[in-house]
Amino acid sequence: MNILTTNNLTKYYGTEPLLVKALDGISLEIEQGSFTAIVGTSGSGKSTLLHILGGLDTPTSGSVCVDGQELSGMGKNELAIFRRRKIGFVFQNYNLIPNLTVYDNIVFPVELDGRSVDEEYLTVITGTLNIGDKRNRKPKELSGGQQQRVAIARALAAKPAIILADEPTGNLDSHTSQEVIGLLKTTSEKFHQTIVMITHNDEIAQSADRTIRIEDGKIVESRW
Amino acid sequence: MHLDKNNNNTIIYRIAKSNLIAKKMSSFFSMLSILSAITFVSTLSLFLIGTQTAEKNILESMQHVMYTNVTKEQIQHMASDERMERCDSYKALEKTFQIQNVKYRLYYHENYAESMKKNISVEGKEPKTYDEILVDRAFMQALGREPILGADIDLDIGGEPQKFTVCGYTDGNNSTATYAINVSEVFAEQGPLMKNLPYTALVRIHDIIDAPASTFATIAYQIAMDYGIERSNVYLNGKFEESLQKGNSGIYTILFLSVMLFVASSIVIYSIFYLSVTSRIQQIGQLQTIGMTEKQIKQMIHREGLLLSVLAIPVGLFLGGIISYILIPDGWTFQNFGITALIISVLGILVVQLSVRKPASIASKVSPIEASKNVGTATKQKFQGGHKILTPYVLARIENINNCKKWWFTTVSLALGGIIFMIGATWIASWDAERYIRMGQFENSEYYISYLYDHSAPKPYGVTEFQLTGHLGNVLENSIRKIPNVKDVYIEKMVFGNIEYKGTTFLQGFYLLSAEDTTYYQLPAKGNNSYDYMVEHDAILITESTFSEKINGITFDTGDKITFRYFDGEEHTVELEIAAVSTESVNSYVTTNFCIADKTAEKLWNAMNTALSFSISVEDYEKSGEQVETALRTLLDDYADLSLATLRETKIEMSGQMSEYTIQIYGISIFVILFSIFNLINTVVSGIVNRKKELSMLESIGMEERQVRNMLLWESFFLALPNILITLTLGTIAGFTFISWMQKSASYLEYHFPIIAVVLYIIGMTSIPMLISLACLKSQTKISLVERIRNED
Repeated sequence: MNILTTNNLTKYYGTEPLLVKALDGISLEIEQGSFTAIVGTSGSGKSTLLHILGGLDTPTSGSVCVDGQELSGMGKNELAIFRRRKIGFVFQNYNLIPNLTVYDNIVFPVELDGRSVDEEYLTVITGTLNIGDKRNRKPKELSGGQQQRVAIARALAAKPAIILADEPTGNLDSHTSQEVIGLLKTTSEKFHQTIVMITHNDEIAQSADRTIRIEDGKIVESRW
Repeated sequence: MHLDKNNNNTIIYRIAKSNLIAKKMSSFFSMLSILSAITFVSTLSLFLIGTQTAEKNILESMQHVMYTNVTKEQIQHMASDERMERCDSYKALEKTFQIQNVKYRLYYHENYAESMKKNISVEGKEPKTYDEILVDRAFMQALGREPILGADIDLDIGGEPQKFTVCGYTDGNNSTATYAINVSEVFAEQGPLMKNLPYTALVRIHDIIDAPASTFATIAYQIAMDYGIERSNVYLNGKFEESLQKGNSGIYTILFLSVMLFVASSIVIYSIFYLSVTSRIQQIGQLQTIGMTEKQIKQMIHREGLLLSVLAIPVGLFLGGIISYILIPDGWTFQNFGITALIISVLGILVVQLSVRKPASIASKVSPIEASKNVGTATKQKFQGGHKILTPYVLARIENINNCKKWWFTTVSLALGGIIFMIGATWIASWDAERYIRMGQFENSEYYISYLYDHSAPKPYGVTEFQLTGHLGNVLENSIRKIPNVKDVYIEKMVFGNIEYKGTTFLQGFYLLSAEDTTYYQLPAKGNNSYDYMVEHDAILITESTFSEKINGITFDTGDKITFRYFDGEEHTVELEIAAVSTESVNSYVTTNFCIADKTAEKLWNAMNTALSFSISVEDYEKSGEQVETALRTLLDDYADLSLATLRETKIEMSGQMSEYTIQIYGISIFVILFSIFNLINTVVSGIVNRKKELSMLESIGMEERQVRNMLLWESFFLALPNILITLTLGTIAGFTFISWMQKSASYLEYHFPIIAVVLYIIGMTSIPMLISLACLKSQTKISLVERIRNED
């Protein structure tokens, strides 16, 4: 079953003759439970695509459907609510809230939604990500790799339809990068979690079940 | 090799400058704080100094003493006396003339232009010939004539109109009811109206400006004696005499307010710089990584402070100069401005450098490693145990707890302003207007009749001349008592004379003590202040002695004799013993602190009427006041030398004064609060700006705009709340203490909590940060979420 579909997505900036086509007709389908890597060189449009898939940005034309819900036509607040329920984000810079503990950071989207935390599920996540003993620490007390694991835990905690990871290993060394990618793959398999990751690193992309290559705003290749 | 001794001042200056440009907002608020403090301090200083200068300018032109009924020869002798700075002859015709509804009087004033040149400009020359005159331009303009030199004018001087030629113009009297026409010496000696008028000598005494008032009086009377001038013909310039008595209380006012303002602005600047430093720890760490030493980091921060000072101080001084010039143009001089500007500039720079010292020290101690790991602006938080559901309220609490230093600075500076505001507001609220107006002569009455005595031109024996007329006597008293609704007439009695004691001479009024004035006899005093002793020994009592001793520059010793000259139609001299001296006073509306027994006064003045004033109280003043006032005015039509002061008129006069005080007090309080508000605005705005990415990230993971807004509103509330609590508690205590202390000298104050002011303050202090937060958030959300996430700080 496809958890995410897009239909002829475009994102244009400016006007002729200076029109920039960041996305130029992207149509794709992501299967539930799959781990997909979107690769491309710098400026290929992969970040733009990720932002639109996550409801952070709106397309110039085309549609995005996540878990059966059409994103276009949603207002700002609806998108915010949709994001915290259906989308989990993992950023390159981790983007943890500095004043909150690890535990608070992880449960933040859940409590924001007024839901109660599934402590058992949380224990499994933190155990899987090997951050169970760091619940009361602050982000600045953790290494980069540990912070990224917390970010992944936060993305998982709300049991989203899809996790969007934007260059999750961009700030990490190769060893830690491998570790994080391994964890993403594990969580994808263990929790049947759909993950879409963008990266410019082909080697890292190989860990995914599927690789989609984007160049100049178009999909040029898609292989399993 | 001393690596930090490279010639790198230029690079540090450039980095400091670029830092300020990069952090426009905090630079703006720092500059605004410095500018405001400098403007206020310079305006205040220049205003007070200017007032003194203006007064000094006027007094420099005026005579110190007038000796009336003197001859030309006496004046010539006096002019060569080395005690005289100048001695000019003078005649003034009492009679007023009129031409085309413009009134004028004739004067002869030797060397008029020369003596007045500091205050007014003079064009032309002094009148020399019989028909030459010197007039003010305004006089000619009032007549519809062009003020040209050599203009001929016919003036009515009580007979045939006389033709005069205008040989000179002054530029001074634009708003006068009666114009002065200055005639020549020839006219004064030969003119039919003035030839029989005696001369007056207008005298300025050498080197008297720094002497006490009593020395001035002594010298003036000594001169009179030396030239055979009777004491009754000696008129001291009351304004000049007063200027000798004034202390320099103005300078303490400047100092107090300046210190207050510099403290307020230094807290704000410290806070702003502290926030600025903590928000760029990574940058500072990077600078250290690439080789900047601790000393250079400190220099960089200090240089930022100096740059801000160099920009803000001149603007502040310029504004202060303009405002003070508008307020007191007559006393404004470039010299005063220059000296004041120099002192304030130095102080301003020092204060700013002191304020940035600690933030500079903090910056210099940033470890490059720490800085490179820096994740947001979190500080150490004590583990509170137990997770709280992360609502916007809880997030706001966490943010405040984690930024307690920022919280403290803002709270301290707000609280300082708040406490001062509370003191000011309590003062206004506690001011019992009715009691204030009734202070002094209206304490127990609504009308006050007294002699028309001009204190600025004191007579040799004070009010005695008027008392001799007996107008404030039984006849008038009985007439007043017959007016319906008049409750009582209280007669204040006082006698006047000149005291000579320990080489000083001064005019003094005495309160007449009766046997029933027991409060006086119960005063703690040195000597014997009993009624019987005073009667028996013809002795006097001096209360509040410190005041008189300060004014006259002498101490009063019990047992000593004073030489007392008084007048009851004839001059008399007696010796009176100082029976007792007390440093305390009786809290009453008696306006003198020298007392003599009524029986002694009777002995000296016999049956002379010693009434000084009538205080008249009325039944049901609100209803019958108007009727009584009309009746009193009708009665007093027959007495040209009596004046009537009413509670009603005083209320009108005072209400203007009270409004002025209210505005001044609130103005100063609000000005101090302004600094706190600058700090508050900067704290709120910089807090939101520095967390732009964090707030965007919160939105990206699903926080609604409403939730972000609520979180920021709660943060604002937590910022404002401690200040409000401190202001209400400490401010109330401070206000209460202040009023209790003031009540010792200001009985019109009765403590009242300033409810309205407090409510307005609470509304202001809670709404300002909230409105600013909302405005900042709105401004941020104009940029797309993606851009905000993408942008580096």
